[in-house]
Parts: sequence; structure tokens; C-alpha cells
Amino acid sequence: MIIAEKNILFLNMANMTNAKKAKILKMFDVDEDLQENFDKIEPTLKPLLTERELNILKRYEYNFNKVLDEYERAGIKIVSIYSEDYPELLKQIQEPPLCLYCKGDVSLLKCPSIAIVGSRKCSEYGQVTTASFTRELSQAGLVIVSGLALGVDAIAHKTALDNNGKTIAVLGGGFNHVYPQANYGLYQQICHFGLVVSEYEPNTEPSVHNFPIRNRIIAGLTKGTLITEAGAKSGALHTKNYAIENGREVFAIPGKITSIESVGTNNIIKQCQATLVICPEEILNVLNINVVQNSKKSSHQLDIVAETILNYILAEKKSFQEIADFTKLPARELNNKLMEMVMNGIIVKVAGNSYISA
Amino acid sequence: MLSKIMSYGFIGIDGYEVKVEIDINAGVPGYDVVGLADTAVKESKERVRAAIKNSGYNYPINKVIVNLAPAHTKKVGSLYDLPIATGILVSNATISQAQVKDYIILGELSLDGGVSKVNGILPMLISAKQRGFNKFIIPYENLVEASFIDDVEVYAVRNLTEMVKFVTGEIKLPNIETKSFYDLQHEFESKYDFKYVKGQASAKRALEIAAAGGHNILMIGPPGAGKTMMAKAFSTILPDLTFDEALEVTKIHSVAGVLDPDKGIVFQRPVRTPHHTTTMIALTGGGHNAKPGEISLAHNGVLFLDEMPEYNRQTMEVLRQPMEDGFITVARNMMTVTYPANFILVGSMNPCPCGYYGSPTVRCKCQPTAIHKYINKISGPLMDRIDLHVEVEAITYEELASRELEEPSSEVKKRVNNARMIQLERYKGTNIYSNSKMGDKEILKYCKLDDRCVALLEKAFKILNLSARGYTRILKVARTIADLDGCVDIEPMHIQEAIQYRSMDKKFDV
Repeated sequence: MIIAEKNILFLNMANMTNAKKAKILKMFDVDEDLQENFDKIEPTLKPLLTERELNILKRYEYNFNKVLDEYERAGIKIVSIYSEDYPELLKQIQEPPLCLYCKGDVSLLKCPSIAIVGSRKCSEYGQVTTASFTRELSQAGLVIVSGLALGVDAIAHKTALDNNGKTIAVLGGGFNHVYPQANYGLYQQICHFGLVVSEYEPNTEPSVHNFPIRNRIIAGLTKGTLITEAGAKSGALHTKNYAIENGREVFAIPGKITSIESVGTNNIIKQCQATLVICPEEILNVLNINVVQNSKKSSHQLDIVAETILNYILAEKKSFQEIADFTKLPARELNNKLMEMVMNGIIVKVAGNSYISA
Repeated sequence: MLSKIMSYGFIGIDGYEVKVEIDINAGVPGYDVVGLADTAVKESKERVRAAIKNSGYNYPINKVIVNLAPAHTKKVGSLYDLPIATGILVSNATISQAQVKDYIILGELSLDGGVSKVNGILPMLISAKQRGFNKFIIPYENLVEASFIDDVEVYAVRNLTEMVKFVTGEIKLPNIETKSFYDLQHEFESKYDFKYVKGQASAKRALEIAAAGGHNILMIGPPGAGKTMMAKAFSTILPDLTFDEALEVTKIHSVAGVLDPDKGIVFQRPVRTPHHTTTMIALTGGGHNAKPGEISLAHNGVLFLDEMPEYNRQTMEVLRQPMEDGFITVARNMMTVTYPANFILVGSMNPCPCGYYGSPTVRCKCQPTAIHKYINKISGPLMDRIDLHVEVEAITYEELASRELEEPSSEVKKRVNNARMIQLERYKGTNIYSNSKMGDKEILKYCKLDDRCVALLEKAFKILNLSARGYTRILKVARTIADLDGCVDIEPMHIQEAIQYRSMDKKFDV
């Protein structure tokens, strides 16, 4: 580990803002070891740091190497801005993170990727579109980047993993405080089969203002950001802002004008801040990625019953009872038919014993 | 003078003979009961004395010693009043020992000499009959309960005088008529019926499968969808109780004291609906006398847990072992009792705390974490023991307003009965009666899958992200669906339908 990297990690312990870190680092030579010479530089730092920050740094003055050992034992790899693994795209953004704490396959950072983000509380429509877009994009070879939140984020990660695709989760806190707890299982899976990234020291607790800041990394890692569903005040809109600021593509899937879950996405489309997309191929075209044509969807021959059902639920989700009343099929047969259609990927079952087209 | 009267007692739902010995000695007038009697038995002193006096007989002005043998088991309840009084009357020569020696006498006395009803008549009679006793004197109020046992002489008395006159031959009492269980069974019909349940085709189909295979089922749906109504109507599509089953159920209900005295026997499969504030002991059974709990009262019937996540987590977990074993052993200070507890669990719950997650009409107000927490209140192992999960939809106005009646329970029951017949035939000679109780060995033997089924399952697990836990559940349910169709082998379409009912395995985890 070069000294410059060590300096960053050392300053990270105090959990200060990126601007402050950059300022301090600029004050000293790149190869001056801040930790070793802490006694000497303390007077210079004093006016810049709060008392709390100074105390933390003092605490680690002598035993910082232990911390580094701990990282190694926990399988945490450090990718700093000086490292070869640090992605070029991320370097280009304003205030790039000085170093990333990584768990998993670091090489994913440099692979072509797309961010898929959205509301934590999404509708069935959001669930289905997120899943289908993720599947297609993942199968086209893109790494799916998202924020491990509930809702759209979780679906994106999961779908990518389920399709043997690669995925990167960017956390808003340290590794020892994975948030939300409900996604801990998913976190572990991603550590194993993908990559988890955080710019925060592992013991940092998640805090409200960290999440919007980490969104810049999600936007920064990728050439394009897809917002599948976002309410009026969704955090996904922060990600969009960062993407626009840094000249990246923003895609949004339109929703019904009456749906409050789609207010955010509809708005940014209206304001021309995002490209309206209705199929994953459009994204691949914009990003100049060769599409391997697989006409999977059309390969299923639909019989008359399936076609009737599909046409019936095409416009909006219908409950089992509604479909039963419409088709006049007994529950036993309808159960079978619907399951068959679900398995063939034509329709999807959602909460409330209802079905929508995939 | 010494006298001996035969009586009976029960531990759990099994009986044992109790010898009531009375000795009257010269000495300071008094009354002592020995033989581990509880308070209710000891208090018999005053009832017996008043009843004898008020019936016009002489109460001895001597020392009365009552011994209840065997002396090492605890005697509970008021059923020894009548035998003790009889014993005293034998001791002072109102009745002769020979006149009562063949009878087993049971009953509580009131101060005026009347004989009132006691709990547990049926289990005691059944047990006594097996041990070769065949003459009984019981309270008149317990008459109906006793009338379902044949080949025994049972005489029901209203008061002490009547009993004395009967045993001394002054009056004749009719031996009670034996009633036929099956003739009476249809007179008592449930007020619930599937024909009153509007819409809900998928839930009804799931309940039909649950009834046919004895599977536990969980209904998930918004408030007012009719979950409770369907759960109550569920017992009407279960196969009729057989006489043997009814006796088992009645024994438990009789011991617990919840038997309807007018019916005397339980005709319909019991539906027990403990409230969600219920305690663990109320469910499993216990207390001072190790009484049966709700799960035993639901034996051969249905245990309906409404709003499952509202139950205390620990309370729910105690269900796990009896759900596997079909019985529960209640250990208490004085006794250890095993009660049968073979029930179908029907659970209901809302999909989220506000109840409207997934509803097309009402917007759900819950935070995603709150939904997650709510669903997770039911532990994985418990969820594992529930074979069918079915989502119930909110009912629409059109359905509610429709006057048309749906398919009646009796029709559904016919199909259920057919499927049960196939299962009884299949499991003949084993202690399994329904598909839900299949073990690994039986699943291998009876749930053979052809290549198409294997391929289908593989695909389903991949596409639907099912957990491995659901695998055997799907096979069991598919077996039942095949039985409903009358198919020997499981076909892909049976598997396909069975997969429908594992929604909790994957759905709400986002």
C-alpha cells in the first residue's frame, strides 16, 4: 500500500467530509505519512478539524496498522484513486471518492455497467418493469449497479444474480452496518457473486445525508442510469441529478399519470431530463452495446385461452376472480393456465392474487 | 360398618376404577376423606350430609371415614358425591351391599338430594366398558352423552331418593335407549356453507384441496375479504366424522367440560377459534389438572387462527411439535397426560399492517420495512408446516350484491370424500390417513414424478425462485390434487397447480 492511500484511509477514520479530506491532503506532500508524523502535523491540522475528529485521529495514531490488518482479515479490498483498479468513469465526476472499500470482485468496477434505481416502495408495475429490464440488460453483459435499498434496488440486484449476471451494490454506510437489515442476505450474496462498494470506513453507521452523497458513486460508476419508477421525492432523483451533472445518460420508464409511484419518472421525462424508454434494447442502442438478438418472447405459441387472458390483463392488473369471471373457467383449470403462463414468462403474479403482463 | 361402592375417575381421556370405601365407627362425629382427594371431593362432606338428611334418610352421628382407592392417584371433581352418599346409606343399612355391588355410580349431589351432571362421563363409560363393567348409575343430565354407548346398562337418576328406590327394587328405571350416531348426525347442520361465500374461486379451490388432503392452509388477504367466513365454512366440506372419531373428540370435550349436554356427543368436526391474546397453556393444555387445550379440542377438526401475526410469537411456536406428531403431552406436577391433537390448521392474516398491500382499490400506507417485519412474525419453521398459502381478494360490490348462490358445501364435500377414500385405501395398514401426513418414505413411494414433472419443477424453482423448503410441500399438495382428479400418477398440471400455493415462499420478500 502506498503512503498516499494509507493517508486517505487514516483520514477516513474520522469520517469527515470529502472536501475537508481533499484540503488536508493537499497541504502535505503525497509521500508524507500523516499517521507516523501525526505529532508533528497536529498543530497544522488543529484549526481545520473539530475536536471530535482530532480525538479520533489521535486514537489511531499508534494502532492504525491493526485496523489495516482487520480490513484484510474481513476480506475488504481497498481501491483508491491512485489504484489501477479505480474506474476511469468515476474519476471524471466532481468530488470522486478518494478511496473505495470493496468486498467481492473488484474487476467489475471497470466493466460496462448500468445503474438501475428507483423507489423503495414500488408498485407491481415497478417491480415487473425493473425485473424485466434488469434481466435483459444483465443478459446483454452489463453490470447492474444499484444501492441495496428496498424496492427497485433490491429487485435489480436480485434479478441480476438470478440470471447469473454481475451486480455492484453501493452502500451508504460501512460494511459493519448494512442498511436496511432486511437486505442483509442479499448483501452477503452480492459479496460472493458480485461486488459491494462503500466510500465509508466499515464502522460508519448509515445516516440520512450519506445516502444522497453515495448516489453520486452509483451515477459515476456507469455511463447511464435507468430510473424504473420514482415518486415525487424519490432518492433516485438525486442519482439522476448527479448523472446529468456529470454528462451521463439518464433513462426513465414512463408510468400512468394517475400513479403516484410514477410521478417522479413522468416529471423528469416531461422536463426532458431523461430519455423515455419502453424497451431495454433502446438503452443498449444508446450505450452502443451490441444486442444479441434472441427472440425469446415470441417463441411461445399462445393458445386461444392464454391469448384471451393476456389481452384481458394487458391494460392493467386483474385479480384471479376477475379473470375467472371473464373467462368462465373453473378455478382448477384457471390455476393451471395462469401458472403455465407465469412459467413461460408471459405474465407475472403480484400481491393481491393478481396478475399483470410481463 | 364397612361398605364398598364402585366408582370411576379419569386422567386425561382415560379412565380408571375408583373404589369408594366407607367405614362408620363409634367416636366423635366427623367426616374424613383420605385417598388424595382435591378440595371439591373434600367439600362433599356438607353436600352429602345435607342431601341424605333432606331426602329423609338418617345421617350417622358417628365418625365417617371415606377412602378413595387407589390411594396414590389424585381424585378430582364432584363426581364422588353420589357414591359416598350411597356408601353411607349402605353402612347404616338403608341399602344392602349386595344391591349396589354391580353398579358403577357417578354423580354430584346438591343439598336437596338432587343429582347434577358431571364431566367426563363418556370417556369413563368407554374405559369402564373395556374393563368389563356394564352397569352404571349416572346423573340424568348426562343421559344423552351416555346414550351412544351400546351393550351396557345405564340408569339415569334425578335424585338420591330415586336411586335408593331403584337399587332396593321399589321402582323400575328404564335402561336408557342407545341412539344411533349416524341417524342423528344430519340433524345438526352448520349455519355456515360455501354457497353463501361469494366469489373467491381460488380460495375455495385451495380450501377444497386442504380438506381433501388434510393440509394446513394460510389465507392472506385484506380485511373484509371473507377469510373468517370461509374458515368457518371449511368444516362443512370436511368429510363427516365417523363414530370412532366422534367418540375421541367427545372424550376430550367431555373431560374439558365444553360438551353440549343436549347433544351429548360431538357430531360435527370441531372448529376452535382461540383469540390472538390466548396463552400458550390455553393452546397446549395444562393448568392444575392438566386439562386439554385448544389444539386438543380441535382434534379431528379445525384450529382456526385469525390474524396470525398478532399472536404471541412463543405461543405460535408451541404448535410446531403437535403439528408434526398429532398429539401433545402435558406434564404437570401431579400427572403427565397425553392428549390427541390432530387438527388442520387454518390461518388467516393481512398482507401488511394496514391490510391493503396489493389491493386494487385501497392504497397501502405501510413502509416496506413494516411489511417485512409483519410477515416475518410467523417464523420460517411454522410457515414450513403450512402446505398451502392462498391469497384472498377483497370482495367487489357486484359479488356482494349478487343473489345467486354458489356451489353448496355438500357438493364440494362429495369430491373431498372421494379423494379421502383413495387416500385411505392407499395408506391402509399404516398410521397415516391423509396425504399431509406423508413422511419422506411415503413421498418417494407415492409421489413418483415422470420426466415432464421433473422438468416442470426444475423450471418453476428457477423462474419463481422458490425455496427448497417448499419442495416436499408441493409434492404432497400435487398428490392431493391428483387424488381429487382421481389420477393414479401425478401429472404436470397437478404440479403446476400445487406451485401456485407457495406464494409466501418468495413473494413478499422484496
